[in-house]
Amino acid sequence: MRPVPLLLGALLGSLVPASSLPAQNQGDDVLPPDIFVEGFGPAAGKAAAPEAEAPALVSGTRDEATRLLRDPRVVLLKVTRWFRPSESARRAAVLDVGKGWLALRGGKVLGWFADLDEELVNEAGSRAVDLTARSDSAFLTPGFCDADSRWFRADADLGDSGQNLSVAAADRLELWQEGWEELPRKSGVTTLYVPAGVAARSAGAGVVVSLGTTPRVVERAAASSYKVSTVQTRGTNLSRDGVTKTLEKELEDAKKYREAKEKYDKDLEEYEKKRKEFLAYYKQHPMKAGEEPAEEQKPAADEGRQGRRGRGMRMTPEQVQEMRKLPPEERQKYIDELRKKQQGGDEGAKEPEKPAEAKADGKAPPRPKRPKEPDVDPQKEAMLEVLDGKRMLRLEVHRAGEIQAVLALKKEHGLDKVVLVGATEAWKVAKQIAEAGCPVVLRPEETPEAAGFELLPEHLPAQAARLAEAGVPVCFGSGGRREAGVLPLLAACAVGSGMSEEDALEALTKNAWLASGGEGDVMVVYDKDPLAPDAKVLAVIDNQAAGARRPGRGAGNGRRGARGADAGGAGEGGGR
Amino acid sequence: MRPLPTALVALCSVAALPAQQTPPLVIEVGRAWLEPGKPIERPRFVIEVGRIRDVATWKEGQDAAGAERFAGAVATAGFVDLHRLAKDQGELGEKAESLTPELRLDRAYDPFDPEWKRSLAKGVTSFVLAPAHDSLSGGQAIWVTNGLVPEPDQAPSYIGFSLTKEIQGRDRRPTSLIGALDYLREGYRRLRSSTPRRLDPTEQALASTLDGAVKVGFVCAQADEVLGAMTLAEELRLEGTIFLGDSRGRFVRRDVEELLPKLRESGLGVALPCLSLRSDPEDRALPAELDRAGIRFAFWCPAVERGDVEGFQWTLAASVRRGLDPARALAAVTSVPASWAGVGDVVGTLYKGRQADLCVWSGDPWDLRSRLLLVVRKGEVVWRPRAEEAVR
Amino acid sequence: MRVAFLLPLLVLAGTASAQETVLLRGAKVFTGTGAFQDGVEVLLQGGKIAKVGPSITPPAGAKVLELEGRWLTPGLVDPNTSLGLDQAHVNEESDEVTPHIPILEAVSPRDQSFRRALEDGVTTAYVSPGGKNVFGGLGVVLKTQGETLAKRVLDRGNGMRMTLGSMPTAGNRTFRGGNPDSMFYRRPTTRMGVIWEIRSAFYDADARRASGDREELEDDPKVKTLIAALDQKLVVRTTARTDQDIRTALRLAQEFGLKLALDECTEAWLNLDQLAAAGFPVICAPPSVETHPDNAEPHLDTIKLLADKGVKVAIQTGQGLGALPLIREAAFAVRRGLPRERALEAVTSVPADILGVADRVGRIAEGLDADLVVWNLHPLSVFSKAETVIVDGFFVIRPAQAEGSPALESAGTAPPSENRGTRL
Repeated sequence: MRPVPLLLGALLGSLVPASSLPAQNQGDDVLPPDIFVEGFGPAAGKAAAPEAEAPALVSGTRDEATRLLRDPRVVLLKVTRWFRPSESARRAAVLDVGKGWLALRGGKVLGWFADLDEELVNEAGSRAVDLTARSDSAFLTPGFCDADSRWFRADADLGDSGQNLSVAAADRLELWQEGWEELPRKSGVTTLYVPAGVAARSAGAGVVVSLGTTPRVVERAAASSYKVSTVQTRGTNLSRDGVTKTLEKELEDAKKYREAKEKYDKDLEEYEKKRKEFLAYYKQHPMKAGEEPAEEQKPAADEGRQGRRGRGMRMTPEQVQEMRKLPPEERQKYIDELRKKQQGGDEGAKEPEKPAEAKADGKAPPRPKRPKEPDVDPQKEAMLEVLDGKRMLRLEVHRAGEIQAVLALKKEHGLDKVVLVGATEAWKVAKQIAEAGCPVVLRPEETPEAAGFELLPEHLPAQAARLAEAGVPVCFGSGGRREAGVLPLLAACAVGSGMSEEDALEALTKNAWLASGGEGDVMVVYDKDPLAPDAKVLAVIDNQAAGARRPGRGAGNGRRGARGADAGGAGEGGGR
Repeated sequence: MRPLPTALVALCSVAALPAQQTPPLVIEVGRAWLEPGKPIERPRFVIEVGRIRDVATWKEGQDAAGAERFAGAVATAGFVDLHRLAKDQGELGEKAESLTPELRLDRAYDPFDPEWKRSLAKGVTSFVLAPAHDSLSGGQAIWVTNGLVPEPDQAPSYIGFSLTKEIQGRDRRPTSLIGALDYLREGYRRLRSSTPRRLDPTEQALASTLDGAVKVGFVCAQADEVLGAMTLAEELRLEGTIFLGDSRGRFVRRDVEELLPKLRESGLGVALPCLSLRSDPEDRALPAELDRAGIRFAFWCPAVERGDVEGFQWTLAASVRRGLDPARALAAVTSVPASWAGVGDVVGTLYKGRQADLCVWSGDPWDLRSRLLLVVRKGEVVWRPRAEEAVR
Repeated sequence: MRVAFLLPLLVLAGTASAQETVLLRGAKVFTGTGAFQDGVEVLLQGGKIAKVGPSITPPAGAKVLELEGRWLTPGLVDPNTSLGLDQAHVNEESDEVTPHIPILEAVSPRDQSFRRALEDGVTTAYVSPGGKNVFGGLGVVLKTQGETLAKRVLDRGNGMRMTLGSMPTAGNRTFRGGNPDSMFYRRPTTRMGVIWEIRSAFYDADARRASGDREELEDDPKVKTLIAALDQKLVVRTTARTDQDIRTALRLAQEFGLKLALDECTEAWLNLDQLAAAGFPVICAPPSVETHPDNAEPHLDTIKLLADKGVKVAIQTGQGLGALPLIREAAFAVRRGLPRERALEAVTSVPADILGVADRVGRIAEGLDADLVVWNLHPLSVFSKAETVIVDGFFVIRPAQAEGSPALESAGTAPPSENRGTRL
């Protein structure tokens, strides 16, 4: 019986109202399910749009709206206010949009249309939803993001103590875990960053999961994580200093690995070139019987290594016979002499072997030697992705000193995307973190005071407020599964500690995306300001892939495919 | 939190003495909850000798001469914690014997413990010193004003009976729930003994609960324990409260939900542990559920949930968000615990003549965006946000 | 399409109606004794069995449940379990003699174990106190499902648990340092000590009975309970696993004139004649279990041998023994030659009789509680499953909706709804 309402919602434009998800006790304040049977048409008795101040929005034209609506996934929505997270050069803002309709798709508002005629709205049919009829302060926001969740990972997998940056959470994601539905419905949390592991010092790629009609992966290789310290410092066998050093060494090793790879690429190119020359030459100058082309000189370093091992020296069968005749203790001496003769008299010994022509004109190229390919090391490959800025590195750090150390590392190695997780004492170095531009994920930690940290009163929200003030993109993580429900409460607390409401909403959305490496594609409508004490979720809007995929099946198949499929629309983001 | 100067606390502790010509403390706020559900706009509280001498109103534009005015702020009664477990439990649970209802908890109370100041900063101006959970009956819970020397003859708020598993594991009776109930029954049975004799202090303490003079507080964490408490209360006609949660505040929520109708019938009050950051999401819905079922409840704060953001404000906000009526939420930390502790006419409300325990908030206390601006305890301002906190 | 199909079911689940009048017909019926019979119809009314017999005319408004090809038995009765108990709460170890403590108060009425028992067709169970004391307390007979705990209880002070063997000695010790006043420095620490405790308790009670000031006795529930046992008003549920314990139990019964019911009688096969002569009922340990406390040696034939001797024998799942569902344990006994009827009796009418609740449960007869189980196959088949379980006329388990039981559809009407939301 449970999936019924879900199905309904998904079939009809995938606007899932809070009420239609499995619920034991449905309140009176939620949408009755019949709205989905009847369709989304403007509900009777809708409230008149309040006279709004001129919003900092530019309305789209009717043509644009028509064009947008050609995409079956686009939904028209009427709400009172809309939280627009910051974009590159635009501040986050809560905008008054009560007058017109918003067109949205996949967690993005594509445009705002101040005066759409009734005809077009009717045409949109079930895809036009007037939520102002449900609440005169309906508030649209991107779904909130838990920047450190444990959903969809088995505890055993999370606790894997193997230290491997190359594993990926996406490979062992348990999307069939039950109970996630309450997150969007009760708390508006629709995006989760799920790490690959939490117990090991380093863990591989985490994933970003979006919770709409079904959980789906929106980013498969979101970030690697690395634990520099924990709140409980006991039990780690390396000092925190040691861990920072280890991280540094791993970065250095990765760099060396890259150098080796680059050198190989260059050598390979060279080899191909030489080989071409070599072949071309001998095509023109066929070899005579018994003739052999010259061997390419080996690099000195290789020579020495191979020499030590006793390889790289050729013994004729006769020489071997001769050696065997000697008493064992003298055999090594014989070999050494032989080697000395071969090495010392390279030119002399090899000279006569060269082909006559080559000797004569000096143009015969030696036979090129194929460079040895360095072994592929997935661990280092992963670190390289981090170094190249392709993958984020989430560092769990707590003490101010550690934070400074990793910030120095970040600068030294030019790491683009570093996220600080935990960061219990970040408030002490807020300025440096802001300069470095690292997002910070704050979590409710267990008893940090016991470990002797220096804390603020009301530490978690107060720290969030201070970091935000310093310009750090700060966000919250639950470090659990169902605990994610407290995130909006934590944000409200941060407002109490002096954070602005916009910053608090930003912390729940944009900043958390920054810290996760993937963006949510589900939007949520609250009946009022989401941080208000009695705010409730009115609707969860998942129109990412309506009709494209059957809900309830292949939950894990939501890959990037749908994400990039942006049909040309009017001004992505709405306001211009 | 930097500890308050000891001198200040010492001063407060003698505030009960008649003050010599000190001008009254006058506080004006935008709105106050005289009691939950009863707001008053722009009230003016005149506080003298530790009591609210007068509640008047002020007008917009009127000069706030001599008064401290918080124009947009909200005042509530100081929070009352109905079940305050000391952080150091070692002092409180008698180890050799578990049925010790005659012990008074205030005898082990140190008013200068810095622990109490932390709760003052969260608006808790008075609390009931609760017996340890690891004794079947740890003693008599005594209401005290936070950080002040208690009255020596303060009547006990309730006598605690812990039925959780925490009472087990010691080399003494009882070792089980059935044994605990049996031990209590035996204790009460002795009172009915046909041969008249002088009762010993233990028996006197138990006898005091029989005529309703002193209430009882059952501590339970799961269904069988709650059922046992209700059976016993019915059998012996005891009045009081069921405190849910062991000393860390853990209890089986499912069991409680099943027992709601029975709880209402029993007439016992229910005290829920404060919600924490790590509480199960459905725990946050339980207060609203209790309210819907018509059960009166209060909140108490387990030892583990006093750090960081957790506490009464968090609990109010979290339960209001899951549908609890804000007035009920506020009542659960002010008027209800005050009346259950037997001090309903002293604290828990802001009426004239009450002890001046007052919190001024920047908004509604169940809105996490609000912050405490002022805490008044028995007529003394004991807490304000520090300047450097606000600036930095 | 799916929406249209699923919605009506939602509606159905919502319409809970209690204890409707239902006629069950077409099934093979085991009434609690004898073999399965065809052509027996059962009418349930007001939570009771109103009528049993051939071709009953359903009263107006009665629902008719066609059970063609199904097997109908009384709800099973498990004579010894620890359902609903939290093991931390069932042994009061501060004293060896706590015969008066009722285990009922440690029962969590909504514990999942009740649901599991229900799914195995068990509708009545004896919940026993723990066995760490010589006298553990009073057991309780209760239904596995019901509106309130009070309504579920058939007998709240049923049988006083007495434990022989080594279990009561656990924890007791001599002084080896530590707290010199420890309550665990006490008898018994041996098997003989256990018997000494029993004798001394009964001797004391007997002396009190003889000299007894009635009023004073009222204040001493411990002695009062023991006297009730001496007066044969209370069955002494004796846990006697090994050969010597069984013989001891019989001897004690003779000595003090006790009325026994023997529990967990694992080595009963060594004392067949004595048991038959004593005439006490024997509740056998689950035959599928191979390792028993006290190193008692099980024998697969025990139940058959006892039944052959004419001993009243029932089968239990027991406490923490790792038994199979009760009906499977009965099937185990059948495998070793116990007649099928005897096996079914050993989990229905016989245990009901031993527990003294035969006037309420254990048989399909007029006036008894409407506790019934509909099995898809012969219940002793290894594939049998309790499709429908009825307790007090409530259909607490019904066939899975999705499977679309033909029996229910042909009835044209839904049976009364699941009794899940009821209160304690």
